[in-house]
Amino acid sequence: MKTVLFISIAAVLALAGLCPAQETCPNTKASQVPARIQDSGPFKRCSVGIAILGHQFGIGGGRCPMLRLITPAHQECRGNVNIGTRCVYEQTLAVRQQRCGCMWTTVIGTDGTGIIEGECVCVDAGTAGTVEDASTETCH
Amino acid sequence: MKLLSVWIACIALAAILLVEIRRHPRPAGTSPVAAERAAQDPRPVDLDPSTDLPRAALGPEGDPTPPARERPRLSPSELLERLRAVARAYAGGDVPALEANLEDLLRDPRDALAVLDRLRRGGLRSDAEALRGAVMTLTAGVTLYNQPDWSGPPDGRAFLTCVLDALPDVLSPELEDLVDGIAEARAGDRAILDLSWLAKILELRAAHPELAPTFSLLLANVAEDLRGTEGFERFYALLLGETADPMAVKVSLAALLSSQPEAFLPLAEEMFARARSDPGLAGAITQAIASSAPVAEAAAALARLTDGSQYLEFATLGARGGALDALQAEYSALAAGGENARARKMLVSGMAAEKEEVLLGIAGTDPDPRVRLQALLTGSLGREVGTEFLSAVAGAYGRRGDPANDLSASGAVLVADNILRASPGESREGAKKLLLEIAADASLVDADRFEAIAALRPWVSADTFQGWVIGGQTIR
Repeated sequence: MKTVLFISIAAVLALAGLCPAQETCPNTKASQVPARIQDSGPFKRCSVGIAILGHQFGIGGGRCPMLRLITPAHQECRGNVNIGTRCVYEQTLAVRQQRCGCMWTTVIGTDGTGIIEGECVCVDAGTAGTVEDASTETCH
Repeated sequence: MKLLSVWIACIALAAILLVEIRRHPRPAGTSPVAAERAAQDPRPVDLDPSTDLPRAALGPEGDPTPPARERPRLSPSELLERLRAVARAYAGGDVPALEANLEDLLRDPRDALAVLDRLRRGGLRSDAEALRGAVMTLTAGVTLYNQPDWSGPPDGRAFLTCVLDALPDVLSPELEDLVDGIAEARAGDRAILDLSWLAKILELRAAHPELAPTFSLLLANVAEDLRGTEGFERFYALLLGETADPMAVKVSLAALLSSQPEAFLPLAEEMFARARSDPGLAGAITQAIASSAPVAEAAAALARLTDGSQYLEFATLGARGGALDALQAEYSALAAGGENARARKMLVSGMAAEKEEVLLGIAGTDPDPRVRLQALLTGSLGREVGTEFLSAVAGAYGRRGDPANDLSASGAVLVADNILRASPGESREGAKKLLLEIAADASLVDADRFEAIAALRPWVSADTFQGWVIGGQTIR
């Protein structure tokens, strides 16, 4: 009887050793990170060049960055607690870069001169990098 | 004869001095030192009870310039019509009309101040065109009266003080437009709202905490061209007083990091640790570090702080003189120990000025696929690559599935897309070929194939994908 019991215990211990211990659930969830648009200088102003009372300067026009980075909305693992779930990274998303500049429009005035600098225009230059996108999955 | 020459020279000098004194009259009782002090420490100006307009802005004796006397002041209806004309001329790109109407409005500073008065009292809310013209006129006034060779009146600083003092009474959204115009107003290459206005801006923010985020925008160029320890105490006070306002933190921390990095970099990192739940504030801190801390310390600090998304900060740092060496050194130190792959990825993102072979070296040797992909993205974004680069990309993609040195299909699409945009000739053709291969590969996930098609579309003929079906969807 003792022998049977010993063998049984040994078998259980052996199985416990062979099988990997069940992974503990971290009880975390993914955190939402909103999309972000960031502008980087040096900034220009797409202003109208004018001369008033003998002084030349620019007025108006939008502020124009040299480049713009667009980070998509994504989820990150920041350790936020949620019972029974885990946060896992599952894909990468592209961070796009745009290059910006003032779009000039030349306007001929009544005296035959006059230049107006119009709007700041940004065009897609490609992918600057990636951010990891996480999701929340149930622990099994 | 000699005596006569000396006498003539003295007469000439006296005449020149007389002309100069008349051209640049000094207010009675104002010494040059006092004038300089006043310029450094702008204070609220007196109001002239007779006109309800700030007297100091009008010049030494509250009188307009001789040209203003030649023409009577604009009547209220003329003033409104000129403001509308300014807005119309600007919108229509009619520069001569814009100049003529602005000259009419700004020739007599009392008219310019009357515009401010109308805007402050909300009297233009029902006239959108005049409202736009008023904001434009005041921005032009601030700019004109603060040009280096402007002899006034009005005194440029006094006029700008009037405009700043009126801001709390200006309603949104014209308030934001006016703040933006003033913050960006320039005299030559320099911002008019420079460091000497810091105290005034802080005073405004303190007096109107509900408008502090808007007034913070006035700080945008205050720290421009900051040298040495100039304004150090004021920036320190700003940082201590405004630990939650991103613009105030960014400007003050940038100034302090450039003047005393050893003292303020640890503080910046501590502030960042506390600001993790506030992305705006956290970004302000990392941007200040990237733009202003010494490059080596900035590279190390940003590597410690990054969560893998601070592309702007690393791009800013990478564009600074000497930063490339700092980024390389930090990357090498981390790579040697196989540490912090996220930081390595971000350090590589800042190496836009790095040689192609160095980036290819990182792409071929770094143990982390994210870093390898970043090296290829940095090497191909906005710069022309050679065929060797394209071969490396195709080779890494061909090894997909090998965790040691592969490139995923999604990564290959991103890099090939960059190459298409920036590299003409053979490299572009090679990138097209790679993308077509990915798009046609039925063993890949549909999302990667669709991305490849999206990247290719601007570069191939419309019928390239005729009859293609991916994931049950016909490609149009």
